[in-house]
Amino acid sequence: MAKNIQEYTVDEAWEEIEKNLQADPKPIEGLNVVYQYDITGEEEGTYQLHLSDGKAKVEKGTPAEPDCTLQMGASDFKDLLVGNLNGTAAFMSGKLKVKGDIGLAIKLESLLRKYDTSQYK
Amino acid sequence: MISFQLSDHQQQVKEIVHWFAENEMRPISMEADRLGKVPDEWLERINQLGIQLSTSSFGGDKQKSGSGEKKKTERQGNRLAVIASEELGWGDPAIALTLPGPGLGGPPVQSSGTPEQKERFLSIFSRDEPPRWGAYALTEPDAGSDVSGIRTTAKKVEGGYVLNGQKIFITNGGRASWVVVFATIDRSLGRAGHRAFVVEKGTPGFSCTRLAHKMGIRASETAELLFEDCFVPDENLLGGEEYYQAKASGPSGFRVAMKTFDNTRPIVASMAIGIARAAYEYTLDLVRREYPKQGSFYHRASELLADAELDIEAARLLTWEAAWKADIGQPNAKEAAMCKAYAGKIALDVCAKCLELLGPIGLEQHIVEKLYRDAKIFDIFEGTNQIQHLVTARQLYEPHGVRV
Ligand SMILES: Cc1cc2nc3c(=O)[nH]c(=O)nc-3n(C[C@H](O)[C@H](O)[C@H](O)COP(=O)(O)OP(=O)(O)OC[C@H]3O[C@@H](n4cnc5c(N)ncnc54)[C@H](O)[C@@H]3O)c2cc1C
Repeated sequence: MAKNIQEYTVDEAWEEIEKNLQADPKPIEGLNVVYQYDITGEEEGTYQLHLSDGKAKVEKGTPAEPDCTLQMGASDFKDLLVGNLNGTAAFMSGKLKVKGDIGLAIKLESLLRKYDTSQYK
Repeated sequence: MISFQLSDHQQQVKEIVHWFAENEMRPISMEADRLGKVPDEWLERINQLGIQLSTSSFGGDKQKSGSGEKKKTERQGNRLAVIASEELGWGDPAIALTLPGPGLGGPPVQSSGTPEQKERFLSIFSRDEPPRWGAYALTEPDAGSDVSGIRTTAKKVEGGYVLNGQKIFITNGGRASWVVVFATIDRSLGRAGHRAFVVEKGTPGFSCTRLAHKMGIRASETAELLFEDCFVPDENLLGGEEYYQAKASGPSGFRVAMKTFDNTRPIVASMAIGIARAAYEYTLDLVRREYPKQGSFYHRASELLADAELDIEAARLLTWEAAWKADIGQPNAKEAAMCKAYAGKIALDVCAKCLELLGPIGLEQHIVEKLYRDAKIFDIFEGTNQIQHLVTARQLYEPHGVRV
């Protein structure tokens, strides 16, 4: 499992997210929210993370109306996932753009930090 | 050349910091004021989110950019900093000054430190570690506005310097992991004898002797520091020996101190503007809802509110200009002094007007009463109002051979 996050494709990274969130749903319990990720540049694409009643589901495209949309490049996205990139810093420096409820974006960051991502670093 | 349109990036920074101010700072604001302290658990949580008070955290000046794109973007760190600071001041100025990070100690290390010192002192601030702070210690019982009055001495010894003296009114001085301390190697040399040292917490002979109880920004720590035969190694002389020896008339500790002000005064000014705006917005809302819609009361209220709006807008434009000049690399000492002088004054005026409009309800355990107390300090630190006028006059008349 000694694979660095940057060696995953964006699709594979999403599979890992789904797997990890489903394996340990405690941090996402009680959340009912749709996050959308607009990945720009290389590996461009749109993904949605649906969290509801302790279940996590990843969808491609825009099947639902998002509560909060995050826009960033693929490599920044992967770094952000595992905590190599600080979400607030990324936001302040313009690498990450957020539309919709900013509070949800901040919540997401602290939520992701509850998962052990050391195997991906 | 003139544009008052915020870029997308600037607008985003304003929005996220405002979100933070409204949802994280305001809910603990009155309680922190009452306790005279920002709760530790709050600081830990905020630090984990990666939120810090660092004047260099904006605009990609020195980050290793992960995806390597856009190298040659226009510097806008100063503009982003004033935009963010206004929102932080709006949220709570005392909590803003207590956010983890190098704080006012950052700019001197950033501008005058050796590469090794920058790495050693600025890399300790991380969301994966406990919250940490830096501080900046210039003021002494006999030196504040008049920096040349510094009496803290630095005596050269084998391998370093021995510091003796006292510093007062040092923001975050007690909690800081390191403090930039200004001292003199020889008082008869005047400014040329000034040196800046980074003194680390726990250094023998360095202690925090008292915390001040203040009229305003009560939740912000203001410390008295004592140096008794405190040995500081050569590596902690800011900029290193060569920095001071390069030219006999070269950068003294005084220069280090002054250069910092041109970047930090607009930030202090914008926090003051945030304070004024907070009082104004609250009062405007109340007048809309509670005041009779005609008659002399209403006219009086409209007049005061219009004055407040005018003051706030004018202060903001002065401040943005000072920050813009810093970003494009033009001298901005005059603009930095002017915006600080103006913003510090109007923050007090606006809060006073708002208290007048609120009447007795504004006096007890009220946010506007707190803002009024908090505002005064912004007219004092980073140079008093009088000193800003002096700096402005000097900048204006020096070219004409008039020495103020
Ligand atoms: C809450 C708080 C936090 C602070 N944080 C820090 C910090 O982190 N680090 C730090 O180093 N300092 C800090 N200070 C100190 C602050 O910067 C000084 O108090 C300020 O610069 C004024 O200096 P002083 O107290 O010596 O007053 P003085 O210089 O004694 O001034 C007294 C009065 O005389 C006026 N005056 C002085 N000289 C002149 C002149 N030439 N012409 C006209 N009028 C003049 C002043 O404007 C003022 O009204 C802080 C102060 C406060 C209140």
